[in-house]
Amino acid sequence: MPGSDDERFEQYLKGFRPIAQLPLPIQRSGGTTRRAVVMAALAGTAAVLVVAAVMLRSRPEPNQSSQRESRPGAVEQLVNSQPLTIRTANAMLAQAPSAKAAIDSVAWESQKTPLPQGKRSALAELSKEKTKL
Amino acid sequence: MRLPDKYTFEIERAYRDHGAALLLFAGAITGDRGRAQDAVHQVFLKLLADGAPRQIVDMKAYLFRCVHNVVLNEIKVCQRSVPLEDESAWFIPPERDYSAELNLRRALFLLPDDQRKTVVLHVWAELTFSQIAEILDISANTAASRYRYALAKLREAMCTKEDSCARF
Repeated sequence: MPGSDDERFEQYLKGFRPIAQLPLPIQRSGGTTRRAVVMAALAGTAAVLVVAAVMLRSRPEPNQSSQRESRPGAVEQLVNSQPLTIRTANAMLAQAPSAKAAIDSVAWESQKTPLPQGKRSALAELSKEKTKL
Repeated sequence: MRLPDKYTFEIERAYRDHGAALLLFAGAITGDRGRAQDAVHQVFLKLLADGAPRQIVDMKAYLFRCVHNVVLNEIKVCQRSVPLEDESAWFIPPERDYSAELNLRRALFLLPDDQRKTVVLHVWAELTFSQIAEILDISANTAASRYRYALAKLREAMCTKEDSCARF
């Protein structure tokens, strides 16, 4: 039958599928809006991160009182590390039972400072050594 | 003027559904895939920019007619001959038979322009003879007649080169 031959040949031809077209070169309006929202969100996040980084860098050092609260051993170290002034010397002399005691307290102040656990004073170590002069 | 999103969506869907067949149809006239793609893009970009006339009943036939007109205008302007380009394939052949694909392309280009257009529109664009008649400004009977001639010539041209055609 010629008709059926034609149909079969037509089916054979339909087996060849046209190669797909290229995408349309358009900018979708919805896509643009979505892209703008995403970009704005990203920019906002970046700005927050930058501000946070700047704030962390410029944050002042924790104050001494808070250190004192958190590290009791360091309290006296800070107090004692203050320079000896006329006023403090006068205060010591006034409070001490004698002048000698006052001078001793000034001279050996650093020894009163409790050192952190596992650490020893260099002065204490040196005092143990027997050096021949 | 910005067209409603629903309209844009419909145009994009039409491009997805018929783009490949429109491209093949344009290529069958121009003989150049690049120019064919340009013509199809031109039609759809214009539709997206200006919109389609409201009185369109058969959108698919309208698209093929638009592509036909754009391609013919372009050929008129360029006044160039349309040699067959062998480099790029036009079809994805069944069972990856690329020699059959080349045979088909060559056979298509041996056909007169009107017959080639008709066979492309009927086989790959799956348009009825009435739709083809509307696109090509001919009667439906003429379209059917051209198709029968085209099919016979195509089979003859392909079967002289391809043993597999013996079954037809």
